[in-house]
Amino acid sequence: MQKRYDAIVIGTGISGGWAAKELCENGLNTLVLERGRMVKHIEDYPTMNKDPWDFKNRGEKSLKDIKRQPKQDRTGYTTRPASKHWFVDDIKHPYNETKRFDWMRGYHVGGRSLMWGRQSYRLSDIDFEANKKDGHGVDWPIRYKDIAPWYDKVEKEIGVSGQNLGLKQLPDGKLSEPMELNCVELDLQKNISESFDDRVLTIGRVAHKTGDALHKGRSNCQFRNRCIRGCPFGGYFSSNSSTLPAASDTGKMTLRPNSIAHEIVYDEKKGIATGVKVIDAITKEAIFFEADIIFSCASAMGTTSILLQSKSERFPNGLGNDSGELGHNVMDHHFKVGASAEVDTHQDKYYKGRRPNGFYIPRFRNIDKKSKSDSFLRGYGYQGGARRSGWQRAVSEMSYGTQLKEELTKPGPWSVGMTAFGECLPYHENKVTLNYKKLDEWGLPTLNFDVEYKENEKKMRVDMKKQAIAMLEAAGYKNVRGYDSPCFPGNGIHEMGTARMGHDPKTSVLNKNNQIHTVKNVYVTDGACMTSSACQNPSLTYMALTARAANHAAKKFHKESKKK
Amino acid sequence: MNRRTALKNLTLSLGYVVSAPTIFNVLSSCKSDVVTWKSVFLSEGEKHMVTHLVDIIIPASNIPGGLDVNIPEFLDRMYLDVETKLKKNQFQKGAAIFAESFQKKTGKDILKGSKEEILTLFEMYFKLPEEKQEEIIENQRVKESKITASEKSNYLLYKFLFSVRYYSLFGYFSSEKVGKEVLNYDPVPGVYHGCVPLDEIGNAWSL
Repeated sequence: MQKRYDAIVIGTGISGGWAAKELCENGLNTLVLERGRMVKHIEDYPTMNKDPWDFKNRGEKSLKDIKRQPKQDRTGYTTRPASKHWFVDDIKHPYNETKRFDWMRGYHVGGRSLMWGRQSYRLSDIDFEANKKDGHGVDWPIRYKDIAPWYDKVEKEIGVSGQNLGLKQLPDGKLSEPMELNCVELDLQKNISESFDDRVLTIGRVAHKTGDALHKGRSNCQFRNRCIRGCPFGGYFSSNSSTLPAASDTGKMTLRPNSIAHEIVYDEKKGIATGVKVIDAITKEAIFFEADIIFSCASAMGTTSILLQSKSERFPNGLGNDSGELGHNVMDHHFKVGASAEVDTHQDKYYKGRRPNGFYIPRFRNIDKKSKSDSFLRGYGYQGGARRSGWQRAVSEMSYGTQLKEELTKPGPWSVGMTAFGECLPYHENKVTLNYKKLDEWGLPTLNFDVEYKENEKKMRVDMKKQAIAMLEAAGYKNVRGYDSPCFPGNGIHEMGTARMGHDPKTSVLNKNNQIHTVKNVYVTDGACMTSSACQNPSLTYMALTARAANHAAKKFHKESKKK
Repeated sequence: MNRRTALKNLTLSLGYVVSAPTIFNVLSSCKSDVVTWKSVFLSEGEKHMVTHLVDIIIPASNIPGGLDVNIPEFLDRMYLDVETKLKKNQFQKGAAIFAESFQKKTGKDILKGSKEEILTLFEMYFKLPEEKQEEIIENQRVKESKITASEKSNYLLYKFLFSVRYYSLFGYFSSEKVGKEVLNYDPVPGVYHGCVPLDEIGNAWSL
């Protein structure tokens, strides 16, 4: 196998797929490394068409399965037979916790782009300026105008359905036809608009194909809501359905699964990285691949582990880690707080189709003087939905017999719920480090997490619950119940921030183009690059930053090739 | 069920279009006797109780009943593969208490108990005034370790009965027959319409 390439991309998830596509489309011979197994679009989605009765135990997770995935099981849903094969075996891939951290991940081609939540929201200048304004973390080296054209490009190519609202905290996008709200959600939307002048309810923006735009090899969302299993229609965006086929079509991509990248090699004389050290996951053979450009898109924690392992005389604490910030400032979104209610109207109405989406209430706290909170910084948004209940409504009853059975063949009453997703501040002491005492089966160090939510997040949660209750009560719904369940970092599956972008090499790892400040041919464009977390689901931003960085790298590559 | 009564019920049933194969399926499953199958978790006595209880909780009518979709077999498999040690233990203890109670009431071993006799005992525990029912349901939410010794036996008995009831509902509504023939089955909807008159759809969606 060829050992030298123009570029190497580590990882095939949402960022790696975009890096591969953009570099290949710009003509660079690109080696794409994936530590896990091959997953081909459609061919390798074993559960995509299964009905509940097709699964052993009707799709419930078995005790035997959970034994291999005790940490992945912390979400409660990912380890079911429908999707457990997309999540790692915790025994084979251990990590350590000084404090509990729920590190949810899958090692396979496509990474978490196969199982992601698909909610796609732009960050705004309120987010890019937040650190500078309140002094937490460091200033983002970019502003909205720097990323806006890349958001445009990414949204058009992946297909994002939703509604533009002209809000300053949620910039408009290039959106395709929005999905419908159901009757109760429309009712709640109207009630919120009437009772609150600071907030709105809209349909979620999701990376699902709707409308007439063409996306090669993909058809429109079929409303099956089985996205987490892989979609035979390519109804939602994934690396497997979109970016990797596009990269492959150029003839420039070499995809190598089962390739564990563990070190980026730095050349002291040249002052750049020369390649990537890989262990073949199956044969355990050590291989060195060389390239002019390296993109680390191994996920926030994967990238951090690789950079921390990349030690040299120049960088004894990890590649590009002059600042000492590598591995620090771990962030995620805190959630599992909100409210639900019962709705006794609209009993003669129902819906058709299983919408893989819900409603969204964009952030309304701390976006201007008027909305400033006295108790916490930053903000949160809500995601929720309304539905009619199924047979489960009768579980806590003592009824039995024919009448019960026949009653349960009809849809039950409506209920509505919402969950808030809140911003987490970047705290230096929230960190991940390498543990060389506990090695994995490839002899590589394992990660150790020391992360917690702090006062600002806790205070924010009080308001997150209170406002959810207030909205459902204002709508006149019954049995409004707030909740604030324990929520551990990682469980939002938006871990980020460990190799942050910034202006200054003394306080950050990456520059405004996602290059390591001091090793310019290494780019990091996964969640590790995030300077603040904002409260929006982050994948769209990773994709936009990746596309932007890859085009920056390709331009530079072509300019330098001409000189040679 | 008597075949003639079954047919009459089918023709009388409103708002639910029954296809010919469905009629055949319903009628061919009109035997209330225990189908022969080998349990992987349940003891013979437990299997006997569960089978009759499922038939009591979800009897066959003009649509299939719990035994038509093999719920006892489903419960048996779930207890082996899915339920935790604690739940397994509660189930077995609760079942033993039910069997013991049956013995006291009828003087018979549970294995000799007919459906009617088991129904009589079940009604003693389940056909209760609303306040009593709420009290029991509330008590079931308490952890076993917090239950006093004198309450323990009743607590476990209800754990058993509620579990059979839960798996009856779960097994019934997630079964292929009910999912495809009773509920509305639409594996590839192709659209999402958020607000449709219920009359146009009828029964609940199965997926």
